[in-house]
Amino acid sequence: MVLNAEKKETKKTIYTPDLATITQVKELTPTEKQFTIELDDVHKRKEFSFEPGQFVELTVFGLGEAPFSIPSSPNNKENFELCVRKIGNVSNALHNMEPGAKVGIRGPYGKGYFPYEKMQGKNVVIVAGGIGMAPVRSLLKVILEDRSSYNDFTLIYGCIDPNNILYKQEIEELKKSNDIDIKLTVDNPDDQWDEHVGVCTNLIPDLDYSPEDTFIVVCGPPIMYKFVILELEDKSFKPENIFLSLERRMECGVGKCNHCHIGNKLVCVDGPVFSLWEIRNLKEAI
Amino acid sequence: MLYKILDKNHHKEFLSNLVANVKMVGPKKKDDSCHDFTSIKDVDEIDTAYQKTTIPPAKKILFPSTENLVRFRLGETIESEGLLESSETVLFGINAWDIAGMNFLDRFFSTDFADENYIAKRKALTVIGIDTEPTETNFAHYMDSEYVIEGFDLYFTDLGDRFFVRIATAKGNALLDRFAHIKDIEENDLKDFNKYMNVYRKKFKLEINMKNFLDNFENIYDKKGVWEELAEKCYSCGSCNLVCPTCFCFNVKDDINLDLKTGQKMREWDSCMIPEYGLVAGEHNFRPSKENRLKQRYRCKLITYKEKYGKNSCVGCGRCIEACLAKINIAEDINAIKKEVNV
Amino acid sequence: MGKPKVGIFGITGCGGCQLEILNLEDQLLDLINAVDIVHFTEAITEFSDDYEVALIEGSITTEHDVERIEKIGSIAKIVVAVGSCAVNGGLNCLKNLYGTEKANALVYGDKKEWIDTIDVKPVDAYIQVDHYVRGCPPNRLEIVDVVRSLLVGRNPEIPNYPVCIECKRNGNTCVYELGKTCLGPISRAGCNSRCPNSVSGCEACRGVIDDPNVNAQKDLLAEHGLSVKDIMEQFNLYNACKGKTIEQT
Repeated sequence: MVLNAEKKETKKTIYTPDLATITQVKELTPTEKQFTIELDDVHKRKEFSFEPGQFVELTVFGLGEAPFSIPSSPNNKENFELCVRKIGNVSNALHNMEPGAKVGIRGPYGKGYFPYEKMQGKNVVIVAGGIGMAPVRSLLKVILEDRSSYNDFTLIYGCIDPNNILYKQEIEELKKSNDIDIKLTVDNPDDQWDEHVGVCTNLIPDLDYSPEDTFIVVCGPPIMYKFVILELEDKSFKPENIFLSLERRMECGVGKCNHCHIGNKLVCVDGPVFSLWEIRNLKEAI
Repeated sequence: MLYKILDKNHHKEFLSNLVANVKMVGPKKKDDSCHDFTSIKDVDEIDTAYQKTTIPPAKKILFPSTENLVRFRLGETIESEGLLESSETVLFGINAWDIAGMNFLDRFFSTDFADENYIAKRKALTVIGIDTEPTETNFAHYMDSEYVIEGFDLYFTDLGDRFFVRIATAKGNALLDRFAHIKDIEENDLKDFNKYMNVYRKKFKLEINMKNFLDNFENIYDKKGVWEELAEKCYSCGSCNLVCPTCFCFNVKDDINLDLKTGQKMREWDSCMIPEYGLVAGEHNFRPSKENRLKQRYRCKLITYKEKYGKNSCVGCGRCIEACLAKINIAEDINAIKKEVNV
Repeated sequence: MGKPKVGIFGITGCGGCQLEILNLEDQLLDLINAVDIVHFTEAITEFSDDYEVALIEGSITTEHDVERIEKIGSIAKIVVAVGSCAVNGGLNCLKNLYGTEKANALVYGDKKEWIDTIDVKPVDAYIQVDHYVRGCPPNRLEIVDVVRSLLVGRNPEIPNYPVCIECKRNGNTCVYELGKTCLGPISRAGCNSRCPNSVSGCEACRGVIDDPNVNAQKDLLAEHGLSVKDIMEQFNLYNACKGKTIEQT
């Protein structure tokens, strides 16, 4: 029996990030940039697959780590994109980085994603507010890349002002197609603005879909959820068909640091996407 | 489980052998109020007649207040690797409710994503339990934690002239074989052990009645008065969390050294009672008020893991009550809250 | 980019904060390698007016101090207030409570006209301060952390939680249990609970947290035999100048 052994070893643990390279940086708005990221290890790159709505933990070495949802298509196997608003230490540092810079990646994480398989053959409505566009863009891509499998498709997207609209060009292109009905709204319109004004909640009453055959996806700032849900329930959409991506402080991403827990749910592990049915009676969730 | 007897006159010999041969951590008097579990170099330092310890012994060893998780080196390429540190240790003198607390942490850290930093230390730990006198704030009996059947390798119960030894693992058995003079139990030993436990259970004076609490929590949650009253008293100082044997919340931080080349990712104990706990980028706080945070703590201690694991994370050690300068008392509060909603 | 030029200045204070930097031992060489220290009142004889970062110790108590601080403010791109005196006036502010005129007469007697003493103020009463390192003396590791943060371009994290958190992380017995009083539950951490670590109550040298439960603290101190006057005195020791005093809240 050896009872005196001090042991120090190094090993890849759940907290060890994989090395990755930023291959492209694109400015989306004055406050948001899109980063294309490629894992350095070829095998890991191949293994890396995710579902729409999942997130990664990104490390800027020496500075910190933060969670980001993946807005790109899961069908793109070579790399993935992140959309980052300049808001904290990690995002500030990222905004100063250029192609070639190294970062650390852990994930993808989250058991709760947007269940696109269930949505096939049904109508889909995405309600996004502000930076909430980033997590749902992955679902948007999945649906558009397999458009014939789905029925009617609507995007309601609200921002504070026209300058904040993410993926503007892409949205303009999409508007020209018949694949999706896009309704944009802003709080503070400028002179050129010719679409809706006000919060995206206002556009829900006009939705004309049968509650039986329609899935709703919601993602936006915390304050948005309560009001959007009221409107959706008013239209009799079914809670098991309404999916919400929740934001919380997800520091470890693996259900250990506990900052993101709401009762018996952990947003990082059980979410970040939940059906309204799962959380409707969960205190603090909405 | 195997039962054996260790005569009192052989007890010190056993401990001396342990101290001489293994790295031992045990209870030692710290000041007029508390004991602390520290490394034992001399058998006479051990004081098993302890009541209060600020930090639970298992948490102190397995989940230290700060810990490096990953180290990295920046350069042409970046190296980053997980760090695991452990040391074969015998933890002597931990009591039943603190073992129960450790059992909770064991389950928490080893399920879903396994936390190897915790597990490496746990694997290297040999646990020897003893009974200690409960303090006035202890309600472990009401949380089913005054007696444990797992988590330890050996457990010593003091029957006056002899110890009733419960052996739970082969590792524990080997330790006895090597270092102690033990003998087989006889019928009256088991009788005396049961008698002892009956007396012991009566020593827990603070009662908490958890009946109907879980099913009525929704109702309790929305009850304004009780929570507001508690919030007015609370400092949001986090002491209750940090001394809790089952509180495991932590912050993750990245640090770079002054050479600007090497650094580490580390974790440190956090507390759900401080305002920053619920804060996300963009300054939105999901638990802005003390009321929110108190509800959250009571829910985490008395509801969440009852739902998830079938057993509460609170083990009733009473440390949070002792540590609270505002005299917030979880047991009394629950009893009062239940009265208010008539359940 | 070359190494940033750093000036370390002492205004009116005891010099202890600068000594904390000199006491860095393990990190001092790394610090000197990481930045170019061009001015260090307590440590080097050279003077320089060419620096990007100024670490300032001490509060402003004379007209001469005002001139000095304004000059530093006009040169430095980043100003870090180091220690209680620089951050919120510190112990020096007790003079304000007493009355500057009265204090001046008492200390300097018939020579009081020779002294241009004014009401004590912290550094940010005169120039913009970018970062604060609190404490009397400050935690030397926190000074390193601020420098390090500036070098990698992040905002240094200064805790807004109470000393109790650090005190429990350190496994201390609460000093109240040992018959002493302590301002820990309402005082800002970051010192690694230095005073309670040596079984001595916290005196709030780093100021109070954003949302202190002052009523509970008053009750607690009163319960431990302190009069309102005692409580005020304890509290004002480091917080007479600025921030929330018990009277104001």
